[in-house]
Amino acid sequence: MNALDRIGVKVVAAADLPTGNVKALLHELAELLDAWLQRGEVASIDLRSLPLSLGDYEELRAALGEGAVSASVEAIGASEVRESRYPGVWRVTHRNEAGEVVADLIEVCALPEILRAPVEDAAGGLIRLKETLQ
Amino acid sequence: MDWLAFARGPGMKWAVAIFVIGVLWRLIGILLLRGKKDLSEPRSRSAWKGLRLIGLRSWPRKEFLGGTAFGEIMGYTFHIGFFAALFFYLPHILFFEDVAKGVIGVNFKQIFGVAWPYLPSGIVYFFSAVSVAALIAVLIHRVADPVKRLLSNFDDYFSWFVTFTPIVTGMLAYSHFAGPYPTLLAVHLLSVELLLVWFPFGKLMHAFTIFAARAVQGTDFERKGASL
Amino acid sequence: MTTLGDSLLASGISRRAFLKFCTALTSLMALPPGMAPAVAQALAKAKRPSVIWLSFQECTGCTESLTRTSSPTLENLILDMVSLDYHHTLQAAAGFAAEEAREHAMKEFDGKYLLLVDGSIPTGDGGIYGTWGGESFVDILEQSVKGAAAVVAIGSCASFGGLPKANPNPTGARAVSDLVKNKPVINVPGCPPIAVVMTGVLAHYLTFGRIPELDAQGRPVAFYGETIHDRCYRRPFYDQGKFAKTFDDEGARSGWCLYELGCKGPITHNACATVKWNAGTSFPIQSGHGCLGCSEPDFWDKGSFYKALATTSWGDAATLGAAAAVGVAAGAAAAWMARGRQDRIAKEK
Repeated sequence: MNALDRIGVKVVAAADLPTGNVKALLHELAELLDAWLQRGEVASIDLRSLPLSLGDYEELRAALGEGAVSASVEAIGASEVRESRYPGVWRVTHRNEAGEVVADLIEVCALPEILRAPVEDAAGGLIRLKETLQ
Repeated sequence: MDWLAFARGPGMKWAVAIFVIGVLWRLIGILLLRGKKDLSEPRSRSAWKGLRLIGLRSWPRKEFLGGTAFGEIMGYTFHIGFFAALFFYLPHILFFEDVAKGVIGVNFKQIFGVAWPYLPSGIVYFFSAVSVAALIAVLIHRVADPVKRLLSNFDDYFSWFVTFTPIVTGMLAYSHFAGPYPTLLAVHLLSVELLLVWFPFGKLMHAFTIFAARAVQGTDFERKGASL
Repeated sequence: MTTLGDSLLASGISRRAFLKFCTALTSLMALPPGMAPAVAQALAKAKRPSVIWLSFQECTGCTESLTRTSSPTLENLILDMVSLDYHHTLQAAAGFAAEEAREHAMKEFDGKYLLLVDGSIPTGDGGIYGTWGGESFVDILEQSVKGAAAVVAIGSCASFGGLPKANPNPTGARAVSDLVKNKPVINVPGCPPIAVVMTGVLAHYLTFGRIPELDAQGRPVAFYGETIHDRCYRRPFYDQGKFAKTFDDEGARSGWCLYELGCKGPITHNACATVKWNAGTSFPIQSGHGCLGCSEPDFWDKGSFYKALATTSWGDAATLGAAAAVGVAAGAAAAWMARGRQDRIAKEK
């Protein structure tokens, strides 16, 4: 094993360099936020569809910052909802039960859909509540 | 029809073969011609000194510079840019290395790492742009000057075209501009194949013949005692 | 057939979880996230289709890749979404019972089942190089496509012929699209294809009931629209001209471009550079090895994996030797004729 230990290992930095795409993304978010304020149009961006490097994700996290709201949802795996420092701009990260990211979105809206209680679930819950009360 | 598969396969194979056949046909055909026997007394016994003419003809005598300076400068600009892009861009060097390994069995990669050093790709791109600009300049000059226009024939224009196209398509492929890369690469390779096929049959043969021509004339002059 | 919405509800997931699943599915299918509600609506109404999987001349790598789809629940839900009525390798039944199950499914869902094929089909010598229970793969495929709604050719062998078709192709291996002419065929090539690409393509069909947009090679544009080179994180090094020369030199350790080591990324269409493998862990170039071009046709016969893209195309020494001989002969003949003319002229004087 000594010979193997002597082989130097260098961690590649290229994948970590920021590419400048975050700036473009923030411009797009500004437009989407404006559209929501003016016309009530909600929108979301799938981060995995964009060419973002690891450095970009760091830059994005710093740029969005943290706002007033953070929530965690447990539904076939954990989902994390964080409002950014710009109210109305939310970072929503969905994970599966193994903890792997299955969707990573930025949503521009009053409240991400995942946080709303769906009518179907509430109706099912009402039935269960009534059963317990009997 | 997969153009890239054709360009990387039979297209290149046949273009290179036709190039080899054509160049050898023309060179051997010229070199084996019988020259006129010079029966006079030679002024100098060391006619080989006349080979200096190959170098001396690289720049015109100052008496002629007035009319030829533009062409000379543009010519050098084009050729230097072209050779920089052709011979100092790594993918091209790998191609030539591969040919050398296949034909003469010398594996330059094993001996030297790479056959010769290569330039950063951005520099190659710059040189390509410079040579394209020079090509456009000489074409405009050729068309605008009435004497040159009168003298120009199909060979002049077509040779210009088959030289211009590989450089431009190479730049397009490298910069991934205007289309998917595999298509751009196929177009670049096909344009190179066109150049190779036309090469032996037009004025592009000057690449080989200028050296032979200057050598013959130089040794002739030296023998006669004329100044070079 | 019950709807997918019904079967998902029956499995006990809440509406909220179903919506999360649809969001993830939309992302998986490379659709804009705004389409998640449409996906949810379509899924709730979609019928649970029958899927028949035929494995022909293959190495089982495609099945391996698919069953390694990372998560226990979300991606497997997609597989749970289908009624996998026949999978030659995975299913428990065997022998006659298995073949009966296949025939039963084909009859019951005639015109509606999805046929998944992996492996090439050997056609040489009457197709004897691949048989089940005495029937050749050629015949089984022909019978099975009759009632299929669409055919998905999984992996490079089914899509283009793959390894069995490589020179000299002793078994006469052919691609699915060579033999199936009257049904829509989706090619999902790769050796193997990326797991999420396979599930994404299936999900698209199951959700929308139609095949996704295909390119000229029959591959879904959503996943095969770009080359590896287009999205490779090592592009800055390619653009600058920093190339690794060997697998362990300074350049290789600094993560430089692998062009000189034979990377076929520039001419290969696949999603490896973005989606990556094993839940986004890595892909060949990130691990230091050039792309093999495994999702392109005939990649086995396109020259060595370790010779750069710019090489191997000039022919061979024998051809050039012959060309040189022809050239010299032609030149000598031309000179001889010219000399003859010179002599004639000299004589006339």
